[in-house]
This record gives sequence, C-alpha cells and structure tokens, in this order.
Amino acid sequence: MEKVFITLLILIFCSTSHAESNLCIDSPEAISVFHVNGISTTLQSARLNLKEISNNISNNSQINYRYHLSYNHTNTLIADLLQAATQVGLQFSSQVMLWMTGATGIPSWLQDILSNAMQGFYPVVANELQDHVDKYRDALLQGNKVLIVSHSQGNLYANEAYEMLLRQNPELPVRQSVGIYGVATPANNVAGNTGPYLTNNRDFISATPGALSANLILKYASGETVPAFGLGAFTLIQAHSFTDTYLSPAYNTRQSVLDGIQTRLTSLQKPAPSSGDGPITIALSWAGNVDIDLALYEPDGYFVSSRAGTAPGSAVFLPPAGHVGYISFDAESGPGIERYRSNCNQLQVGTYYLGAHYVMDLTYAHPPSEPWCASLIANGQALGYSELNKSYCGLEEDPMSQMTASATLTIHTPTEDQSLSMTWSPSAEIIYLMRPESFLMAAKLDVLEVTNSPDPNQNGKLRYVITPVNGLLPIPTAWQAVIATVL
Amino acid sequence: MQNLSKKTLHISGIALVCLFAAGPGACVPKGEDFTPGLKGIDSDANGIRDDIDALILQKYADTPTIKNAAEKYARTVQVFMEANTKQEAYQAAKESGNMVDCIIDVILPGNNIENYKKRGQLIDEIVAYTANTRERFEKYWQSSALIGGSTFEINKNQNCQ
Repeated sequence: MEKVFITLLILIFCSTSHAESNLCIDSPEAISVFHVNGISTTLQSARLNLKEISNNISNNSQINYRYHLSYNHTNTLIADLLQAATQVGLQFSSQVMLWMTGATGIPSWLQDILSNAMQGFYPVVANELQDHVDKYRDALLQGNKVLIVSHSQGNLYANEAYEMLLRQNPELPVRQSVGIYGVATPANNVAGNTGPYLTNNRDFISATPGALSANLILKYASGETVPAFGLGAFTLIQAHSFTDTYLSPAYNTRQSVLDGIQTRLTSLQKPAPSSGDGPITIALSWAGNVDIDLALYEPDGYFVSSRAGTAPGSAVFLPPAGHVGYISFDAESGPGIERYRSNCNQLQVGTYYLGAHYVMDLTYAHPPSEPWCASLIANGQALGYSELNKSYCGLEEDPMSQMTASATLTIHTPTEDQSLSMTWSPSAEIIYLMRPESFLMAAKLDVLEVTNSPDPNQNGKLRYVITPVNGLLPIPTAWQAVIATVL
Repeated sequence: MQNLSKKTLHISGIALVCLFAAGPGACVPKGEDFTPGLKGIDSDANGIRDDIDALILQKYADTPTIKNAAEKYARTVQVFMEANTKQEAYQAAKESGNMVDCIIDVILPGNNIENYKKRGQLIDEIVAYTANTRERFEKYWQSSALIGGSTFEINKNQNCQ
C-alpha cells in the first residue's frame, strides 16, 4: 500500500488586499525581431548575427525594439559528421569547427555533409519549432509586430512556424503582423509567398531543388563582381555564411539584407494587444528540473492550463486561450515561466482560482508516462480521437518518486505584485504525478468591478481582492474521468 | 599570482618565437591542447586552457580591455561546453551571448571591415579552440542540443565590465 505525503507550503507575502486603478493601457508600438539560425551554426555565431542586425536597423525612438535569438540545433548533422569523421580517420583540431564556419581547406567529404544539410535534407525538430512558435505567439498577443529573420535552414523553421501560427491561432492577425525575411533560403517560399528574401548568386543554396533562385549578384563593396566559385577565395560554405558574406561590410549583400529587413518591418501592422501585462497577469516561475504548469479557473468555471490543449485547431499540447485570457506558452522544464494574461477587452468580474500543476520530475532518463499519457488521452478525447486510451499509452507498471518542487505564483496588477510560493514536498514515498495532490491552489482572485468593459482602455477601472489559499486546486471534471482511467 | 606570472611568461615566449619565425600576424599558436577531458591544461586555474590563453595573448590582446573581454568570453564558452543540464546550458548560453554582445558593442565596435572581421574571428576561434578534440567537439554540440528551441533576448542594459 502506498503512502503519499504531500506538504503544501504557501508563504503569504501580502495579506488580502483591495485596489482600484486604470485598466489595460495600450502599450507603445513594439517590434520583436527574431533571428533563426541555420544548421551547424554555433550559438555564439548566431548571437553575433543577431547583434549585427540589431545594431544596424534604424531605430525609431518611439518604438520599443526587442531582439531575440530563436536557436535551433540539428543533432542529426553532428551525428552524421562524427560518423564520417571516424570513417575517414579525421584528426580533430580547432580547424574542424572553423571549417564549419567557412574556413578554407575544408575536406570535400565534410563540405558535402554540410552542403547537403544546408540544402534542407535534415527536417526541422518538432519540439524546437513549437518552442519558437510559442515565443512568436506570445509577442503577438502582447501587441508586438513580429519579424523573423531566418538564415539557411532557419527558413524552413520560420515557414513552418508561420503556418503553425495561422493554424493554431486563427483569431490572431498573423498575416498582417508577422513577417519573415529570408536569407539564403533553401525553401521555395517565404511565408507562403515569393519573398522577401535574399540569396546571392555564389551561394550554392539556390541549387537546392525547388529553392527560390538567387536574386542578387554578389559584389565586393568596391563594386567589383565576385568571381565564380573556384576562381576566387570563397569556399562553398563561406558564400552561404550569414556572418562572412551576407552581413559582411565587404560585400553588397549587407546593405541589401539590412534594407530588406527594414522594408519588411515597415510593412507590418501593429496588432491590437489581445492580452497584455495589465490589468491582470498571473506569472508562474520555477527553477528546478521539473515541469510545472500554470493552472486556473476563470469565473465561468472554464479550466485553463498550459497543458490543456483545447484551443480551436490546436495541436494536442497547444496552450489554450481561456474565455478571459491566454496562457503565453507551455514551458516544459525549469527555469521556466508561464504567464496568463487577461484579455484587454474581455476581463470579467468573478472569482478566479489560481494554482499550478506539478507535471513531472525531469531528472529521470525515462520520465513516467502517466501524466503525459493522461494529457494525451484528455486532449485526444477533446479532439475526437477515440482510439487514444490506456492501452495506447503503454503505461509504466510502477510509478516513480519525484523530487521536491517549488514555484512562485505572482499576481501582477497595475498597482501591485503579490507573490505566493507553492511547494510540493513528497516524502520518500512514491507518488503518482496526476494525483489530485499535484494540483495546488495559491490564491483566489475576486474581480469585483471592471468598468467601461468591454473597452477598458477608455479610463476603465479595476477593483479586486486577492486571497491567498492553502489548498488543492480541483481537477476539472473532464480530466478526472481520464485520470481515473489511466490510474 | 606566481603561477599567473610564470604562465604569462611562457605564453609570451611562444608568441615571440612565433613572431620571429613567421612574422607578425602570420603565425597561429601551435601546440593546441589535445589532452583527454574537457578541461585540458589550465595551469593557473583561471578558467581558460593554456593554449587558449596563448591564442588570446597573441591575437586578441591589442588592449587590456580587448584581452579582458576575450578571456571572459573564453570562460563562458568553456562553461557552456561543460554544461550537463538544460538549466546549466541555458544559463551559460545567456552569459556567452552577453559577452558576444559586449565584444561587438564595446570592444571592437563599428562597421569598418577590420573590426567586423576581427570580432567574428575572435568569437569563432575561441569556440573552435574550446571544442578542438573529438570529445570536446561532441560535448559542445551536446550542450547546443540542450538549448535547441530556446530563445535568448539581447539585454539592452548589458554591463560589459
């Protein structure tokens, strides 16, 4: 017989409080520029490219510019490279990494591996892609224009991310407010269109079957045309390099890239913020190597969790929109932060029950499948996949213990922040992670008055009460049935 | 302090021999550290392998500020390579990214071709030296895999000191 001991600790930093203030002021224009790197690009090199872009986009002081690197890594390429290195008896030195960034003297076998990889023979990694999409969506929800500057294989990521945004969030102005500027693309489109993009005529990537053709004759800054590969100093990889060629002051590509980015930025429309850091934002943060999901009930009893996955047209694990607000995205490991942002135009009076769900301890090489499976079944049923059941999941026979976990739930309002700590402290006993004890409540938020709704930007008022709660967050009825099946 | 002085003298000696033998700018430090393990030989325990110290001294020590930034950056790359968890890799990646920003903004700023090339070289070469054996190369890319999908924002208020 198993024994489960859960110690719930909620540290109350502030007592029950009342407030009244202006609501949800529309933020000034903001632009989020994301750079998605190509294959075999080091983190540091990708950051260099992003920084070069950020330093050379003309800044309008009235606009808040934010620059992000959306890093992608293709493990398969490195595995192939290492296997080939063994076969040819390669003596490793610093030169190997330098060859990957365009240094001369690259052996033909390595050049073949890299060029094949860059021509898109390695598929995008699904979980990396979804992480990127989550960040784009979050920026869009906050009213930011979003521009993705993608290089090489990063273009495949950008195109798919764009399609996923359209599919997962048809209510958002993706076509108007999200743009892609492609550099050295192996793809045959840019966000479903024929541009904008830039590929120089010495870049082998345009030889990729179906790829958009080269649209710039590569010239030195002096105006002299760069000779064909084999006649000049270029290596195959270098002509494709974002750093060494496309952004380099030595070539005409630099100004074309920067002008292209600027033009695409100008053509984007500012989205109305669907949600924002006011009037109410709930943030859940944690540091450990665990997955914790923000979970709450809206006034009409609608359950919103970053794992619920019930948004219209969503993939199974898409963080959903509630009836009143959005969860930004599902951070799947610590350090993580998830935010529930209220919809500026739909904030409702009533009671919100705020908490979190300790999903799983990630220190196991093979995490227990129960929570994953339960979510899968729950979402599968919601989406009409009746074949998803207990046998489909292939459950582990033995449940495993989990580490202690803690998280902080912060309620941001225009006048104050209240932070509440939640701790899941199981004893050495084993625990089923989807048990009711893994859903904790941290606070009850009573929104008493929202004036001028549904347009609180017009001198709206907010009156609320926050009451810390030490207890369990009820599991939604629909989930209870599924969990009963799984456990 | 004594260790540091001895190490600096040793590295300076390598650089001088190199200069006399091949002329300024033409020589690349020989004797990369191919010892087993991720850490290599770091005789003064300053967090930077001796061969990378030599590289910095020879190529990226034009001013004390540049040298200092290159050393800080080299440490972040080493920490990144050694990261074993997603959290460690993410934190190290953030710090390494911040140092990249510093090198561009403060150490080798501007859009003239010389600085542009030199900062790119510095950033790439230190990574290449850090990951110069199969074991280190493989581990470097394992750390990269840990941060696949992560997003890093440029910190506008970065303090480069």
